[in-house]
Amino acid sequence: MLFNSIDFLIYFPIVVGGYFWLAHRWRWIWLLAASYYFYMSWRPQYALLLGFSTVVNYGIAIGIEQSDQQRRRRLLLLLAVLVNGGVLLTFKYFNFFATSVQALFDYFHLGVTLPLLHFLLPVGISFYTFQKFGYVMDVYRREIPAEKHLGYFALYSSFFPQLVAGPIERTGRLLPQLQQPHEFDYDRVASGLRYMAWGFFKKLVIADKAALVVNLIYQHPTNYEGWPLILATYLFAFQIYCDFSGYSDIAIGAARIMGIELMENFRQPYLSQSIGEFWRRWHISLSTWFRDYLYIPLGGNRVPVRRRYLNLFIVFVVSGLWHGANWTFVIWGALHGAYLVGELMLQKPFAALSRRLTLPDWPWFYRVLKVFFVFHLVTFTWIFFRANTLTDALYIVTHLLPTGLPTISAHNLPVNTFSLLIIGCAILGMETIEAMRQVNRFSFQLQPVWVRWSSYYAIVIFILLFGELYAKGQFIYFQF
Amino acid sequence: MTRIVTKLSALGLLILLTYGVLWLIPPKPYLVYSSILDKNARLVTLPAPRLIFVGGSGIALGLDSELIEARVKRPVLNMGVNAGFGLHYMLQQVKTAVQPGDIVVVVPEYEHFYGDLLEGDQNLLWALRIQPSMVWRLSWGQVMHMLPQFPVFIQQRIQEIIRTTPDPIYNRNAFTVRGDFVNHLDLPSAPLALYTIAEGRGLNQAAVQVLEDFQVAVQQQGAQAYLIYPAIAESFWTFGENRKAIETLNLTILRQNGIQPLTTPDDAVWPDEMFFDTVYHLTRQGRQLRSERIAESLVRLLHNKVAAKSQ
Repeated sequence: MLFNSIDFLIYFPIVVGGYFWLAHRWRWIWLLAASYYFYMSWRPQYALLLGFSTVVNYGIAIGIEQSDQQRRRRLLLLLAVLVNGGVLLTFKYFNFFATSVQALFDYFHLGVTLPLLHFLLPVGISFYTFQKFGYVMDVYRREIPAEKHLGYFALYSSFFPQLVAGPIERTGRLLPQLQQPHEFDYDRVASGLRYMAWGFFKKLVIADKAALVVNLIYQHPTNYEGWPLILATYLFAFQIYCDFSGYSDIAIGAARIMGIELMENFRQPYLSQSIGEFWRRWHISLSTWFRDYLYIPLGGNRVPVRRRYLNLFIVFVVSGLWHGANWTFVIWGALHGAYLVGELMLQKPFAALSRRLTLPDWPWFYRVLKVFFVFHLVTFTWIFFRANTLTDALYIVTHLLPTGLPTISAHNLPVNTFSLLIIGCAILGMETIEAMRQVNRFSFQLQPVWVRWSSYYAIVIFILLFGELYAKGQFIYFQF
Repeated sequence: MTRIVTKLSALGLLILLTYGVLWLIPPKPYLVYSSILDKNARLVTLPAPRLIFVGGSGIALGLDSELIEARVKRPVLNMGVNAGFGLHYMLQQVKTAVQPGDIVVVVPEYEHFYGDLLEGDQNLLWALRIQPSMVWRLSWGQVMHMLPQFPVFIQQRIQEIIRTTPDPIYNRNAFTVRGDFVNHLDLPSAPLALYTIAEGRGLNQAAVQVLEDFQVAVQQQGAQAYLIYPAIAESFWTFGENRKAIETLNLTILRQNGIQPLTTPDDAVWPDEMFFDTVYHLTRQGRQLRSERIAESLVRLLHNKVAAKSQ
């Protein structure tokens, strides 16, 4: 079930109504049933996979906690790696590795044909697998106790607002909140609804409208060169931001209505002044997951500098692969890894150069320059993220340079939609600037009633009048 | 809880009011949908016995009524405008205006039988905006199907309100007095977008039933109803499982033994180069050949009727 569907508009009030109507001791059952219903609306069979992964991780974590022998604890952790990794490998990566090895076999004319699996990728598999593996790791590190109540653990593993596209929550944050009673609170519910409305605006008005142009061009990039490719790439930068952060806002808002606080996943990432900062503002729940469960176990900052750079690069390549079983994602991750290592290596020379150019004396200009530079480095990587194949990505990279003045109508683009999209981007830009000035976008509950009502009315009417209401646009991150 | 429900209801009411205002703004007189008014006026005034074609844009763009009128020697009226009105609505529109001796030729499009176009899409709301009195003839199913289309209709209304000039092709003046759409006849063809009709969905039996009910109602009024399959492009006919889906539909209609098809589905398959911009919209040449074939079927039908009467 998509958040941007009529089904969800019916489902959500029923779930929330039932949640507050029931006594606390029954709520976990209600939410668990609702979460499985939500997940099964895509493909009922995959609920079995979710259930299997839940029960196995639940059992392993209890086994780890009850064991005093370090060897046994390690073996159980290894089992968790194998089970969770096995699930991902089977359902997400098998065909990628098989076709890559097959290409190698074909190149050497070995005459071997590898079998392919014909599963449909279960929605959100990477999210819920990582969330549960993080839980087992936390128990292994004795940071949290293993959860004994299978029902609550199953709810934590399947909580519908964040099940299919995050935020990837930490057990220590989410599980206790699910166990606590929450009363209906007007201000909290209103705040959750505002979050949801903002998320719908970003998804339906900006992301889905941008998708019309982006899909048209990225589906057959070889039909274009220059400006249309540049336009589509810039638009994709906003599409993916609004799509994913829009989803996160809806998830955070939906959970907040029920009294559960999910972590912020985005903090105006395109205003970052360095790649390192970008990754502290973009998909925060995933970045911190990789930091805690991969980068630190690899040695973190406690290793020699060269090893540290290598670790960073490895983390980003793995992050690329997490996003999708395709070489385009691997390159996307590798590019970010290279950027970050380059940034660390060149930190001192850059600082010296900027001092020489007296840039720090012009703080505002210097900041804008850095934001501009980082935004364009990131946008360049989106080419690999969005392109359907590596060949397409390379074509786009080599044909980006424009040959003349920008023309749009000549390329048969939906210009009408485009003009509306400009409005959407402008509004988003305004919001971002406001956030930069530390004017909280939802602080208008302190504003006069007419300001608040005009804002609510404007956002809803804008979604209804200009949103892609029945485009059935999947959230991009569902495929991960 | 009451406080938030009250406030949300108030916001909802404001939104509904906005929708109401946007609904009430009069549509531009040159809209293609406004041709319904011209067609209905002719439907009411044209003396019987007549030949009435009912369908979507396929029949609007693909019929030469003058040619047929000359061959069949009966006044012809082409009621086709848009398949998105839904088969149900198209038939409701003519049902009460049928007179003894009329022949109604229904030319539905295949999406009326597969998927949910039987009850129409947002285009039905356009039809109702042009002709609000038709609201009272809608079935409960049509109303329920139509309501979720309202936001999309309002989005289209805004674009229409903003637009200051008529669409150069699809406008009210594109129709002849007999109801044929002719603006496309001298335009170059565009590549055809192909798709599967069924997309995993089964045949909608309710659509077949609507046709049968119409035939019974028309007979009771002393007229006759027949079916003609829509003209489609050859590549569309062979695309995916389309042929199988269309043959299943034909078999179902024949088994019902109610409304009689005057032609077979493959009679209406034409080469791709005879189509204008969609797999249903014929070019000048396609329209000519197709109209001649329809005229032959109708002449044969009327001849057989006369022969049967004289025996």
